[in-house]
This record gives sequence, structure tokens and C-alpha cells, in this order.
Amino acid sequence: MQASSLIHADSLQLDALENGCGLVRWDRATIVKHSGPDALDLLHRLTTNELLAIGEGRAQRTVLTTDRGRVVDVFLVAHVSENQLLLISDSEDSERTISAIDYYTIIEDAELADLSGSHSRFSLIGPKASTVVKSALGVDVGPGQLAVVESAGASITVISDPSRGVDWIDIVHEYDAGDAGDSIEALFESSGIVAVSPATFDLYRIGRGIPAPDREYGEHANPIESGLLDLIEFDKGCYVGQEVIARLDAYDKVKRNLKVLESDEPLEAGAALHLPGGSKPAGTITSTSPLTTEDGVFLSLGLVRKAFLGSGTVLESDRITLRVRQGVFSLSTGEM
Amino acid sequence: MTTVSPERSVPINTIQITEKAAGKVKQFAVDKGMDKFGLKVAVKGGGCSGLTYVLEIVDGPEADDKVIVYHGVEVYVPKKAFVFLAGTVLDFSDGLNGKGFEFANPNAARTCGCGTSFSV
Repeated sequence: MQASSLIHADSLQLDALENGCGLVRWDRATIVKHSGPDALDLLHRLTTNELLAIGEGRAQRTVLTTDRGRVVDVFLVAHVSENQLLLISDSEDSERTISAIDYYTIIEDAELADLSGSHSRFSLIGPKASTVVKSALGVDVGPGQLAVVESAGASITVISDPSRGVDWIDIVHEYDAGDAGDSIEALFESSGIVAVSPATFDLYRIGRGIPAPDREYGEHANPIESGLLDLIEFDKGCYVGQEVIARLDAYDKVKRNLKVLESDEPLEAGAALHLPGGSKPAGTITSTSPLTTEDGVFLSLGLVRKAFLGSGTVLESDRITLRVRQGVFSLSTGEM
Repeated sequence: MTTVSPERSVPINTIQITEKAAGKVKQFAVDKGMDKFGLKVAVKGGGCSGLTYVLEIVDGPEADDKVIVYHGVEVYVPKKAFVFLAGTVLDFSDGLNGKGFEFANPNAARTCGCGTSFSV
């Protein structure tokens, strides 16, 4: 590919995500109200993370897996008020999450309501996200905390989620109320944030090794290899899939790791990875971006076989050479 | 509490408890000083395989419970749980190697190592 045809990511947007605060809109995201006295206990019994400890006003991200340890969905459990939870996922398929939880709701006093069509979500990402929220809404929301505030004629739920390893605050509010949605975003825009395009956010996500639904995780992968290890509490006891996941961890049976891949040409999501010369299969590419970093490097994510991982590992995909990056670095400054 | 393979044919529109299991239930109820009692048998979400058995001695059925009587013991099964339990035999295994109450559930396609949960 000629250097002149490279499309660089928007440096202003990347800089906001890395050093300021970027606003990322979710056109479609799963937003579910889970209510009832048994709702939290049920989710604790079904999913990988410790949830009984999250009191009102706190949130925790967790993974719902099948009984064979494959990922159904990853969602944030926000304990909004007594017996009222809000479940927020990056997945566009709210029905999949709802039907999975509903299947296991048998004698429990708990109800699910899909708010995905009636509520809007956007995320404030970057080291200044909490400062922006305080300036716009007047509330301090620390990591893992949430607040419900009334502003611009709407009820706004603000949730800080540190589980992706970056400063990340989700804002959820009801759609309607005329221009309320626009007014809410305007509150933040006046605080100096930068709206980030989906393509730029995706490049940022890939560079940070942040897994996404139906790409890095899903029923094709277990949560450990998908980069979701931090969302698994190994001491909590039984949950759906626990036996399989505990065995994978205890006997070191995880065969792949999520890795950031660098190449000088664009790669194709879903394509196979090989050792140079096409000799041995080495994994699968899960996410790609058409944008490049400032220095013209294409970034992708892939599930790479651990046997072939090492510092400076070189692989191939469709005869394109790529390097397996160790760790994450800043997309805007290029520094580790 | 554990799960075993069904050893005999049980009508799929009911669940059964063996005489030994019924005797153990009566003993527990007497120990608890209960004159009126029944055995609630249900299923809840959770456990390694997704569905976990629930056993509880209670003083009567709830409104939506299916009521079955075996060996002088009333068994209460919530309607939503019955679909996962139809055809099950509940037994009791005691002694040094005993495992307590055992479910022989023909709907269980897979069980976890400790036997307290299953999937269908």
C-alpha cells in the first residue's frame, strides 16, 4: 500500500481519549432493567464476578458464560437502588442477554425489561472524564460508583467503570423528552470534550487491547483467552461455567491469548494467522481498523496461540507480515 | 445432594421420592418440631452447569405449586421448575459412603463434578 493512501486516525480525537475526555456514542447498546429482590443474587449465581458485595450506588462488570465456559455476554451491573439494577453491555443483541438470564429465572422473584430501544447511552473516556462529569453535572463519581442526577429535564444515570483499564464513565438516559438528549450531550460538550467517531474509537480500543462482543469474545471463546480475566473471581464459588473455567486456569489449558497486532498493510477480520511461510496455524484475527496510527501502522486484535507468543513474534496472514505487540502504548504519542 | 442416572422408569408427568427419602424427610420434620410439613423440590439458576436443585422442608405449598404425595410425604414443585424435574426420582443414600439426597433426573444432560447442578 502506498503511504499516500493511508487514512490516519483523527489526532484530536485520539488525544482526547488518551489525555483529555472523548465522547463515544453507542447507536445500539444493550440496556436492561433487572428488578426484584432476587435479581442481584441471581446474577451473582450466574456470572463470573463477585456481585453480592456491590451495594447501592456501586457497579461491577461481569461475564455470563455458558455451562461450557463460553462467553454469552459481558455487562456492567449497576446497583441503582434497592432491588433495582441496570445492566449495560456493549453488545447490540439485547435479546441474547435477556433470554439467557430469563432461562435461568425459575423460582426467583426477578424481572427483566429491555430499555435498549427507549434509552440512550454514551461513554466519556479519558483521564479527564470524571472532571468533566463533575463540571457538567456537579457529581463526583469514583471508580465503580454511580449516581443518578436530574438535569436538562431528564433523569441521568452516571456510572464509572474502571474494568477496561482506562477511565470510562457511562451515561444513560431516556430518549424522549423532546430535545433532552441533545441538551444532555450539550452539557458535556461545553465542558471541553471531543466527540469521537466510531472508527477512531475502534482504533483506540484495538490499540488498548479492549475486547468487543462478537469479535474478541462470544461463544467462540472463553473469557480468559478473550482478555476478560480481571472479570473472573476465582474464589466466589459456583456460577454457570465455573467448573470449566476453573479447570482452564488451574491446569493452564488456555491455548490462546488476546494480542495487539501491527502491520504495514490492512488485515482482514476473521482471517487465519500462520507462522511465516504458512507452516502452522497460529490463531485468528478478531478486529481490524482501516485507520492507521500517526506513523502509518495498522493495528488489529487477534487470538494468538500461546505456543507461538514471545517478544517480537512475527506472524503472517494472507502473506502479510505482522508483529505481535507486547503491552499497550499511547496511540497519540506513540509512547509505551 | 447429588445426581445419579435414573435406574428405573418413572412417568414423565410426575416426580417420585423413594420410601427411604420419604422417611428421612419425616425424620427431619420431626427433628424440627413440625406437625404439618411437606418437601419443596425446585430448581434455581446457578451452579457450574446452570441449574441447581433446591430442597426445603416447608409447612405448606405455595399457590402455583404442583402437589404430589409419596409414602405419606407431600412434595411441592413450583410449576416453572417442574419442566426441569419431570420424571425425577429422589432417593436418599446414607452410611459412610452415602451422599445424602440423590436426584435421578432424566432431563439432566450434563452434571457438574459435585452433582449439585445440571444442564438440560
